Amino acid sequence: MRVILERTLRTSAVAALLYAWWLTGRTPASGSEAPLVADADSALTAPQLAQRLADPMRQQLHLSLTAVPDAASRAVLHAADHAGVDVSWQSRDSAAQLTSIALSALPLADPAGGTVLRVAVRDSAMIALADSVGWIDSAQTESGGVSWTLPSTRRQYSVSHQGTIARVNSADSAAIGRLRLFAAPGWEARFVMRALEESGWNVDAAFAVAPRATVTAGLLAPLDTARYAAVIALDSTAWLQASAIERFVRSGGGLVLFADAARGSAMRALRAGESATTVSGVPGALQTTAPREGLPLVPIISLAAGAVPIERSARAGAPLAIAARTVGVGRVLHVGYRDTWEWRMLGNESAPTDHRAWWQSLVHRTAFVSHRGTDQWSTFPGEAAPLADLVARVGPPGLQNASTVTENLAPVAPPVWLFALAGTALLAAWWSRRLRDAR
Amino acid sequence: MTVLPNVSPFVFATAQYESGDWDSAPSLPGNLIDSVARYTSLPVAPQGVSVALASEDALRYPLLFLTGHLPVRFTPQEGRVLQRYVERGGLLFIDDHNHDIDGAFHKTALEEIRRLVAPLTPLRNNHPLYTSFFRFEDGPPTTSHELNGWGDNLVHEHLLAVLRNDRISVLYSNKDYSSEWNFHPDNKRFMGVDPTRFGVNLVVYALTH
Repeated sequence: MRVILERTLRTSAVAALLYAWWLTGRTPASGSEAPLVADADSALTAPQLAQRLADPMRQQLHLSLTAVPDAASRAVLHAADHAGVDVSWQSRDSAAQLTSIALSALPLADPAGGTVLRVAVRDSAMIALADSVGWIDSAQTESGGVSWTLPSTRRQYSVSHQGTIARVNSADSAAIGRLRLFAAPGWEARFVMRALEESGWNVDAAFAVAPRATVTAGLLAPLDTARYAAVIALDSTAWLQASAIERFVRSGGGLVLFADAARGSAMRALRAGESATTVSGVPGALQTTAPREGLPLVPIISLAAGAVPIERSARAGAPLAIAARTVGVGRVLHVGYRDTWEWRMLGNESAPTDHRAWWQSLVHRTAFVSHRGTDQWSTFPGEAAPLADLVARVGPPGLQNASTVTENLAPVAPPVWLFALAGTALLAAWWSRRLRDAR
Repeated sequence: MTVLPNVSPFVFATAQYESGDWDSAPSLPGNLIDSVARYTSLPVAPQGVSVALASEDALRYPLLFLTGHLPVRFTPQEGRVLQRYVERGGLLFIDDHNHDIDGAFHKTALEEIRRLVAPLTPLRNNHPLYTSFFRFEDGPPTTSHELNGWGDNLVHEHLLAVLRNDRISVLYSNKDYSSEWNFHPDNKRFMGVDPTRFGVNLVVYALTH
């Protein structure tokens, strides 16, 4: 009797393990007459979807998602949608929307190269940045976005947030043009050229030093985006070329327009606003951590339509010091500061470096860059904006049909109690054999 | 219609230093200012200034003229300001009023510049400095003082310079422009060729490079 009991226990254990093994290999049953409803999260894979959609009787597919499916899964859904399957989706948590994230990677307008990454996120979020090698950085986004300026250019960049990953390929190559400076001979022109040339830029200029004498620097060429990345207009010297500059900007070129150049009516179509009366620099401020407060400032007032403020001075009334606008497809940065060379010569120990970096940043924001390689916009939104891509492929989120049957696409896991049953049976059989001194 | 740009006028500045006779060519600034105003359309201040090399105010004048006959030994503060001046992009023009390569000024000035900035080396005679306004095909113009029996009685074929990013930071002359240009501007009318023309090149170069 005892031997029979022990055999029964061992048989039960083996049976429980076999059942668990069978469950593991089992694919979920699919009622071929019922529309398929998948309840899946970011673990949802394209093969799983394709497997479920292999049944020709499938007429409907509804996804309840916690993250945006990957690109391959979106492609499968897109194909199914075009093949006549009614594909719909919604966020599993009805109170929260799926992560909406978009990423762009553009070459930095800098002779030394680099990449500007801009990330748009619907809400404030912690996002992580990676390239083809590994993680680079993370950031808490504010005001819906964040940008990184990276000195290197990798093939691919990605940002992730709550399981949603956006990827972009960077441009294979970028052609950076020269800079054209319009300025009268003087210390400002001299130090602007120096700052930019120390950053690697080639600067062309023609300085009228006498009625019939001009000193040229660099190679003067017709103003177009094939040759020039940006124009820097420091003073009224630029007015004689205003129409050429406007053509250049409208075709995509950049313009850094300083107050003395912006004053005239010739630049009305390009400036970001009107110029107020010059405000003196704050004495001693050049030596502080806010050195631009020490520069004379021509505040920008009455902003033009579409112009946006970029920087305000801390002086009385918080006058606007820098504003930006687009003209055609080009960008204009209207700068109210004057005599920035004093910052370099009279500022604190880091002034030469800071002055150079500031000038570089002005050019970065406006300069035209011709780039070749992967055209991220031809496939947009694609992997650059996963949620937008999902919407573009299968439509906006919608509720599932009430008559559908819920099916769990996740692999069937054997219940824990089966393993407990098998373990208990084996332990009992062993205990029984020990009690009767059997080996 | 020609619109004159709103640019601050150029101010000719002479460096004062504690050792030596920094003010040995008192008529030179006015003469150069006259030439800049006479030949160019550059806005120029009618009066030059003298600025202490030990003062941070020297940094307000990106072109500084320094001359003398006597040994030059910069004080520590003058050395600090001079180093900052050059690192930030100023141009210091030093002229040996002795025009003597064995003279005290020459020897000590070269030592001081080597100590504080970098060794002075010959400036090629086709440098843009020589064509920035007037053309000096053979390099620096000779002066009547080079062969006047004083000094080393040599015609110096090159100026010396320290270059940073291919631009002149320190320019050094043995040609005694301090004597050559040290006269009242009205006397130019008695001269066949105005000897201060090279000074105009120097100012134009400084403002455009």
